[in-house]
Amino acid sequence: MFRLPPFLAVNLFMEVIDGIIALLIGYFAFKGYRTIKDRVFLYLHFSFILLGVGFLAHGFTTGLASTRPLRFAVPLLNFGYLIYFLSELAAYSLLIYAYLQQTRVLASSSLSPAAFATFPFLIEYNPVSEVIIFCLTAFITAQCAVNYSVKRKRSLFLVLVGFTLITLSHVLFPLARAAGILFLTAHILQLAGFASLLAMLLKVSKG
Amino acid sequence: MAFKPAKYRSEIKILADILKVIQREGKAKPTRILYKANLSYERLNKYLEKLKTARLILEEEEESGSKYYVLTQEGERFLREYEKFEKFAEAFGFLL
Repeated sequence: MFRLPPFLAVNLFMEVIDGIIALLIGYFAFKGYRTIKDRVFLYLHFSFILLGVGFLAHGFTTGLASTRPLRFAVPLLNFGYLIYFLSELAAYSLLIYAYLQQTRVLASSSLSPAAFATFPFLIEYNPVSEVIIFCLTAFITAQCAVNYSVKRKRSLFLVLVGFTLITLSHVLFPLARAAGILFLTAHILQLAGFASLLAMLLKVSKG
Repeated sequence: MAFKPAKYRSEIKILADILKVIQREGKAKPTRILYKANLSYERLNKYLEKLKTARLILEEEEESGSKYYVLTQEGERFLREYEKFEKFAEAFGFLL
């Protein structure tokens, strides 16, 4: 039976927490849409729900893989990562689309066909997929930086810090194969990022 | 990326702006709301009717006969909720 190394179990736990935080933000955005009926909340809702589902699915498949023999565990891990990658891709793309809608700038982005060609063979945290996600999160981080430069509010700062940390985590994930500590660090950064977003949510929901 | 062009206010934003004016004033006369919420007279009346129908504001009359508006408890609650979600959207840099 493929056993999950302890530090991977810790990473799995952190990912589940990330997923729960993302779902909480998505739920709050849905409540916002019900109250205010502005499309912005729908974009935020679907974006964070997708993130949450992706993290939880990845966490679940990783946990399940640990109970299976290695020959089943590896494809299961890769499948879980595929769901995780696609949900992140969709989530961050939707967020970027929402920002572009607001500024009425039509941008076309094209992903390298090579990236899509690797889909059936996507391996965990491979550089191609992580670079794609990094580019998306870096764009969002840049947008958050602009937002904060215009309005110096703590809530905007927390979102900026959140996405900065998430972006940094995607720098480290592809390097994780070189050293396990980088994998752990990447997860810690990601969790810290989502913790910052949770702090924002708690701050604004206090009223 | 930094430029955010001005958006036309949505109906709910206008309603919230009216409620905010009334809340700040405590009790507000139509002309005060007109000026502070930046609305035309016709639109103001339309929105005041909607707010009265939704029981978010109450229309009262002074001894002199002039009308003024106050927030109901429901109006206070709605405004609190609105501002919460407004701050949430603002945290991500979105304007309502």
